[in-house]
Formats: sequence, C-alpha cells, structure tokens
Amino acid sequence: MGSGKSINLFDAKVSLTPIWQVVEKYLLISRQYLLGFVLIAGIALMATYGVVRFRITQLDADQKQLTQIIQTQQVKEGLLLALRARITSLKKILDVQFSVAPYIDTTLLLARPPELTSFSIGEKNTVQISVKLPTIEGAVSLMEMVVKLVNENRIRNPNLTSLSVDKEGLIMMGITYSVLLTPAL
Amino acid sequence: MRLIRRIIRLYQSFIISGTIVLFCLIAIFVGIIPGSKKIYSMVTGMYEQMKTVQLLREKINILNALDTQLLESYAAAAISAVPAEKSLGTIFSTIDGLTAQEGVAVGGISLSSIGSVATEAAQKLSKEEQQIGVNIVPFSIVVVGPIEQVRNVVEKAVKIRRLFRIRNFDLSFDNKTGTTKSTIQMDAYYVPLPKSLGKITDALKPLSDDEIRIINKISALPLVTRDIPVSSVSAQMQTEPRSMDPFAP
Repeated sequence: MGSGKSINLFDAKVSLTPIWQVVEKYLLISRQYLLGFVLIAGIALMATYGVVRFRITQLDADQKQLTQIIQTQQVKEGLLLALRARITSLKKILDVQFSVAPYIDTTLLLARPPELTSFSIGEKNTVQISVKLPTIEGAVSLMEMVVKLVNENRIRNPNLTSLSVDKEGLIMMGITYSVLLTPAL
Repeated sequence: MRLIRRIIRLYQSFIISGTIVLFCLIAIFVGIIPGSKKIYSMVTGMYEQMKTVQLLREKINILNALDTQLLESYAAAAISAVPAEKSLGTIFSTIDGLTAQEGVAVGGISLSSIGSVATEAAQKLSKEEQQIGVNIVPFSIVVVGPIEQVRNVVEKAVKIRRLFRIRNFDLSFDNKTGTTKSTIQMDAYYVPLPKSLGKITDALKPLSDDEIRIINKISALPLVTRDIPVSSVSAQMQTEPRSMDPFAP
C-alpha cells in the first residue's frame, strides 16, 4: 500500500434534489416523444416525397407525350379555334341582321310610282313618304289602306305630316309611319 | 477539473436528454416543417399537373374525333360569309352577282373609310364595330331599275353568304321611264383570323349544337361570289410551336 493511494469512503453518486429529479423525469419523457415524433415524421416525409416525386416524374412523361401528340394536330386545332371565333362573330352579325324589305313592301301597298314621289327612312324604323294623288278618292283610299295596315300590325304610329292641293287639283300628302322589322335570317 | 467532472457526473442525464431534445427541435424546425411545406406544394402541383394531363387527354380525344373535311367545309362557308380581311373584290363581285340576278343596273359603288393606309393595329374600331365586335366596311351602291327589282335586291342583300347589312337607303323615281334609282348604304363585315393558338394546355371543346346550327344556317345561304379556298385559312393560322416550353405561361 503506497502512501499516495487513498480510499474514498463517501458515496460516489451524489443524488439530485427532488425538484431536479422531477425535471429529469419529464425531460426523459419529452426526449422519447420528441425523438419518436422526429423519426416517424421523417420517415413519413421521406416516403411521401418519394411517392410524389415518382408520380410527378410519371406525369411529366405523360404530359410530354400528350403535348407531342397535340402538336402533331395543331392544324386541326387551329382550324377549330378559328372556326369557333368566326362563328362567334357570325352570331353577333346575325343578331343585328334585319330585312329592310318591309320598308318598301309597306310603301308599295300604299302607293307606287308615279303617285309615290319620294321615300326616305328616318330614325327608329320610321318611313317618310310623299304621295301625289289626282283625286280625293285616291287620298281617301290611301288613308283607308294606312288604317288597314295598322290594324294588321304591319305599321305603327302613322302620321299625316302634310296635305296640300296644287293649282292643277293634285293632292300632295306627306305620311310617316314606323315599320316592324323582322330578323333577316 | 474535479469540479467539472463532478458536475458532469451529476447532470449527465440532463445533458444527454437536453442534447437530444435540442436536436429534435432543430430537426423539426429545419427539416420537418420546411419539408412538409415543400411536399405540400409538390402535392398541390401534382394535382394541378394531373388536371392538365387529364385536360390534354380530353383534348386529344376531341381532336381525334374531329372530322377535318367537315371542319374545312364549315371554315370555307364561314370565311366566305365574313372574310378575314376587307376583301373588296368579294364585295364588288357579290353586288355584281346580286344585281345581275335581279336584273337591275349598278349605277355606282362607293366605299368610305377603307382605311387602306392604316395597319390593322392602327385602326380604331368605331362605336358600332365595338358593339358588334366585328370590323365593318361601309359602302354604298346606286341601283337603277324597276322598284320591284330594287326591293328584291334589298331583300336578298341580307340573305346571301357574303353577309351585308343595309344601313340606309333612299329612292327616287323617274316617272318618265318608270325606273327607280336607289342609293343603298350598306356594311360589309370582316374579322381578322386569330394570330395565335394560345397555350397548348388551353381547354378545347367541340362545336356546340348552337354553333353548328349557325354555321349550317350560313352554309345554306346562297353564294353569289367566288369561293375562297379554305387552304388560305389554315395557311394563315400560326402553326409554329408556341414556345420552346409548351407549358410556359
């Protein structure tokens, strides 16, 4: 036995205070849960990433292949798109396409050349005509025809704008009325 | 030194547990949370791409089902009704054919607002053009003949394949000859062709019943002008690749 050697008779493990022992206990539990969570979450994330990555690669390949197929049919696609755009324009045009023949039809029912001396179209589908009639009977007949056309709903709002008799006894009448226009097509 | 050893021995379990907890927290904030966000965005993108692929599949099915010959005949009818440019030649020839059919003489044709100097981009659309959404070429014709024939010209002018609209007209009567001289103000239409196809991932739908009804109605109209070959339609369409990256926005 050398003089440098000594025997420690005290307890080598110094115990913690009760508070620290509680803290240590919870720290151990937390450590286990956290470690478990990190491991499980990590594995789940890696697995999900792998699956998603694989699916995206597949989709990329599909998309590339489909794009190539579509590009081979670009002319057909262009034809369809151009046609659709033109049909849209055609529809808009057809919506504003009205036959104006009723202007002349109704006027011809009232008077014909040479009695009909002038014809003009005003706003809101109105027609203004001037008629030169040789007899008063002709003027009465004209007015009866105007009433008949109103009753038949072919013209609206007739107005006698002027009435005069010249030196030769000819009756000059000015009439306006509006016409019901129908779509041309 | 002995003191440090003593402290380490005393707090050994604290140090190990603390290190593990710290490692876990760093892993959560540096790895798991950003990784989750990344995967979430990848999944979102994947669903978008799945929709795109589905759309492309449907587009291919639609394209495969299209009858090219039928489309070309529809396009020919549409382009003859409303050309891609002013096409003054078809206006003249249509008026010529129409008046010849009805046996009246054309006293004159005048065009206004031709805009031949301006480029398409420089031209400003009139209020009316903006309302209808198509370009208009206004012109007027003087027609001489019996009133019944003039009436037929007015009637048929809006029922022929080269679509016209009658804006206004006035009549004057020559009592000696019994002829009617009529000045008819008309509009012809034109619509430039689309300059690009759009994105390859844009949805494509076949022609609807309503669209087919309209094109059939147009096809049924009599054509009194020479037909324009449909090859000029597709030839003017842009068929070059849209871009190097077809999915680029």
